[in-house]
Amino acid sequence: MHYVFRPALAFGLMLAAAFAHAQQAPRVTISGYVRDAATGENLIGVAVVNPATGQGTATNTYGFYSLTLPAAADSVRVLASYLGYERGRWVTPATRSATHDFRLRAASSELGEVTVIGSQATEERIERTTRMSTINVPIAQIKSLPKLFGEVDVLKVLQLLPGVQSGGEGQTGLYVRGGSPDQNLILLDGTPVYNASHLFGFFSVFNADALNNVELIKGGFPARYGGRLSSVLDISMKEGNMQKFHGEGAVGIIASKITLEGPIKKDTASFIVSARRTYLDVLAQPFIKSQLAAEGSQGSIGYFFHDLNAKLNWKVSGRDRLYLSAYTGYDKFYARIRDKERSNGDYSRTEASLGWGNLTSALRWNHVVNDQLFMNTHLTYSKYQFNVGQEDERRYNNSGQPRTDNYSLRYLSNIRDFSLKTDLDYVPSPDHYIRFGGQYILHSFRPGALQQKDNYSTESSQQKLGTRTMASEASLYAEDDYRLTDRLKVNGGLRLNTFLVRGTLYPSLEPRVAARFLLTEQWALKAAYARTTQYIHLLTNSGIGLPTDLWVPATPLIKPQRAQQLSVGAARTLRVKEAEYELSFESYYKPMQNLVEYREGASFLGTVDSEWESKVTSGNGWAYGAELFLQKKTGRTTGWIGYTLARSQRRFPDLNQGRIFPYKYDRRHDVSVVVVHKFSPTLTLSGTWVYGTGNAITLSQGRFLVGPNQEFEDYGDRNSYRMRAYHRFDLDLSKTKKKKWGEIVNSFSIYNVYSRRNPYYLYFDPGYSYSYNGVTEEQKPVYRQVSLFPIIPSFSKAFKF
Amino acid sequence: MKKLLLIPSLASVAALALLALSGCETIVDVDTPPHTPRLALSYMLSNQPATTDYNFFFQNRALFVSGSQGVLETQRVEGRADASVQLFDETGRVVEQFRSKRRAGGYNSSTGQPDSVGGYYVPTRGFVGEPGRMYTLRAAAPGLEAVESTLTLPGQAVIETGSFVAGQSNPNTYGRRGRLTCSILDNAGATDYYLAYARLLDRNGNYWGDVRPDYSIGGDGPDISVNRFQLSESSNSYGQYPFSDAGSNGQRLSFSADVLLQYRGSTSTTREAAYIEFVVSSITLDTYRFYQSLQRYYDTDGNPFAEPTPLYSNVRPGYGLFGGATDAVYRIAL
Repeated sequence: MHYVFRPALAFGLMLAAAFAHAQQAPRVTISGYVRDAATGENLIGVAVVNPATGQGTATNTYGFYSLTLPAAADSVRVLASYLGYERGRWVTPATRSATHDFRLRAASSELGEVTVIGSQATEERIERTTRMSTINVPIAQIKSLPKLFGEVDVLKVLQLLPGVQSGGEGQTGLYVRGGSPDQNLILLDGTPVYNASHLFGFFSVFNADALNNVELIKGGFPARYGGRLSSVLDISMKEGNMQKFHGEGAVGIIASKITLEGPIKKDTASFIVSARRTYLDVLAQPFIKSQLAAEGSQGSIGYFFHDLNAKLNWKVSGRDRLYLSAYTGYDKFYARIRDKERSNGDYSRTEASLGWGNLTSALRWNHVVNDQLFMNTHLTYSKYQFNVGQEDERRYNNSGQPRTDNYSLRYLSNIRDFSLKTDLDYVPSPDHYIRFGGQYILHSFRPGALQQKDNYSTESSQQKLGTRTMASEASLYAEDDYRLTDRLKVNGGLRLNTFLVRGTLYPSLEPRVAARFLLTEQWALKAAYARTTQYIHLLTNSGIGLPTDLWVPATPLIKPQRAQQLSVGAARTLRVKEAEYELSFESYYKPMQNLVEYREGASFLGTVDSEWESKVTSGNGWAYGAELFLQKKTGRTTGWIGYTLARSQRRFPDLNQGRIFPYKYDRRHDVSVVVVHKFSPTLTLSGTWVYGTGNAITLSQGRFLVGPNQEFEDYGDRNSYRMRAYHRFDLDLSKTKKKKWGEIVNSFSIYNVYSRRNPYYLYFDPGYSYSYNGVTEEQKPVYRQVSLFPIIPSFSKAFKF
Repeated sequence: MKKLLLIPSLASVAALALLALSGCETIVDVDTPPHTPRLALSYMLSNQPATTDYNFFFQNRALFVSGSQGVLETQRVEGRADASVQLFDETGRVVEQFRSKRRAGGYNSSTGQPDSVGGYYVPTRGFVGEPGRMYTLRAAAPGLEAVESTLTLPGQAVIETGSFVAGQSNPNTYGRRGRLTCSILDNAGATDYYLAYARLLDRNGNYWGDVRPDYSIGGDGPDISVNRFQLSESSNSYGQYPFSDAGSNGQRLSFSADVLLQYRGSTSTTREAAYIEFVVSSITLDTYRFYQSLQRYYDTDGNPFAEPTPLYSNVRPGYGLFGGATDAVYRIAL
């Protein structure tokens, strides 16, 4: 048990030091919020510093800061600086504590050429922060990058970062450092989103117009995050403009969207509503109806998805703020067909649908307990559901009597979470930033429920299968970002989790440590260690986010997934002439236990009730690699170059005869180049180029007999065949036109500029051979690769008022 | 089952999606995965002498040998008659040798192909395996790397009791219905693997007919439970339902199944069955895994959503199974 108590003891000593530090007198505390002057939106991660001493802090997710300084007879000057914004200054007597809200204006240069303040003041510079493997991508940058079918996609931009990869052509699933998509904790305003994709993974559910901040954590997880092994994607929605009514939207090839926001009561309450819908079904309807009519049938067939984000923001008092946010998104395929009438009153009618979607809602209460203590309490609900429905009706004449046969079938799977969470930020001094809190989640899993009934069967005409499994997950955490010396800063934390399911309790104690050591003023060495536990599993045949994927809990038979991750690296800020670059190198090693896969031959088909437990098997995995990231954040030209060298392997006793095999998305080399250049304040050109080693798949290599009749396929080792390498170049040219009422942005994107035939999947064509009139036609068997997207130009028009 | 109606429903939806995306789709040929031809065989060593009656009932236990070929080769895979196969005991002594059953110039009239028995072999020494002993099977054929596999024949199960209770006859069903129940002593301290078979004998002990699972009684089909002790079919490799006692903690295993007794019209000259012969075969772990993978292979053939199902093998460096089965036999008078 020493491994449990040692980190607890070390962390206890660290906290004791922090509280002892807090008792030293005399000190003053300056606290408040930092917000965008025009919109009132929270600004996250703003450096708030005392330039005289270099002591500083950063705003939290809600824009709150607290800076405790030694009391002095004279005044103290505080600066708030944030990339892309003019610096905020405030001078106050250093004799007593005070509150001040900074309202930062966007940088006057529309080219974003902001001056970066001196290094002593930039507490959040890459070499200064203890955080590793964490990347914020500005929403504006996301919007300026090339698009597929005119749709801005947050997740596809994240795939351009080192250590993050896509599953395949056009897919939005994130594979972070050799992990699987279910190992990503995707939070939208603090609420987990279980299926983040539309249209079988081609589009993500996140509408960029409604978002304020996107942060991805790949390793060195702070103790406040838990429940997943591979990454945390923390997405914050906008809060709604407190000053003026605004709107923005876009019209694309397949979808349009609109966002409206404004004050309900100026400086007190605001709202934001954002909606998006595809309209392929509407456009295609006349063609489909005419096709059906040609066959003598009536009806409609179509597909659409929609998203709706909404948020209310109410500043109750100077210390209290309430937020109510909700998201719902749904994909639906539908077919309603009435066949041609065979004779009078004799026809059949079928309605079939397949739908899936998320519903999340959150009520959040921000409370400033005192100038050093900030509390956020979060009540959330999240639901993901997959439905298949089919209703058949047959009317006919039975010996002169009209008769109607009905049959209906419904299959559904869902997961629902109710959660209560409280987080507290305590900032006793510039040397400590303490976070602690707890969370309780009530999970409800229904991995497969089947209902069917008819009015004609002689057997059981009604069948209901499927039960619900309830599970309770509780966690407590504490962490401290502690500056031990001017060179050494440590973020240490502990997280205690428990998971109770069917009478079985799974506890876990997770130490988290991240440290940076300043070698010089520019260079920092960094290291991080995190132990993580995941109590839910995703059963998937595809790995691309199909709605048929089933979320299931750890059970007495299926243990929770566990992982450890050790990262080491170096970071520095480079100055080349006037340009500033961030350079980081990180390597990681991540062993994983109790991973779950379908057994060989198993699939979701027919998975009902608790049957899934007999269809899966557990095993271990390892991922390791190195990442290089060079980023330029300011100037006319911004962007990054990322390179990842990685390996991800699995070993399951029941798969591949117990031998080690590569993970399906094991990618040895992954390169991404992203460049955004502003020719003028209104003309932007951006380009991305990606390269990745081909996915590992299992293909039949030969055939053999073990009896006289049946030929069997020899698949070789699991995932032993490599698809071709993936590479692609995309471009986007955006032109902004200023109007009296606002602005219009016309974007022209080209996806896959050189029309690379990237692999989507492979299939076996068995060929043929026949003779007719003495002529033999033959086509030899061959493997064929299907590529999905050749060069695809698209145009979208966005507007803002 | 009606739940399979999900498949056309999903398939129609998938077809819609593919239709929408097909405009973008392009297809190119790709490199073929390399393949080295290897020997494939299947043989089950047992503790029973290979009599005519035994060979007739346990047709799937016979030695069959073939060679593999690349996936792009167009000719049919055939059994091989030119293999040399020997069985060794733990001292390295040859205890059994096999010869091909191929008939010279024999062709299968229905397929027009060379006779399928070309891959079958018969033992020449009439060797019978002993439980607890280790055996190695070695095979070689021209142009292919020699293969071998080793096993230890499992201990024999003890069948304590068995009974058959006749059920109501059904005019729509051919055969006599009833419930077969048996109790088997189980070693709680070890994980054992079993196959169960049953057949009908006449009063002279000759093979009279088959005992088959009665699927007409709802909810008892073999697809309902993954690890249920149930009857396997002795004549083909498809209907093998291996059972593991890993989940049972007791001292006894109970077997119970609704069955149909059906005349086979074979070697018996009498008009009535006199006994049910219940056979519990203790099998090796490799045999258990092989039959499990075989079942999955058949069950998922053509399912585009299913993971590929490689056939388990303990033959190195080839394909197939050298299996071991120690049979315990119990007769129930009818």
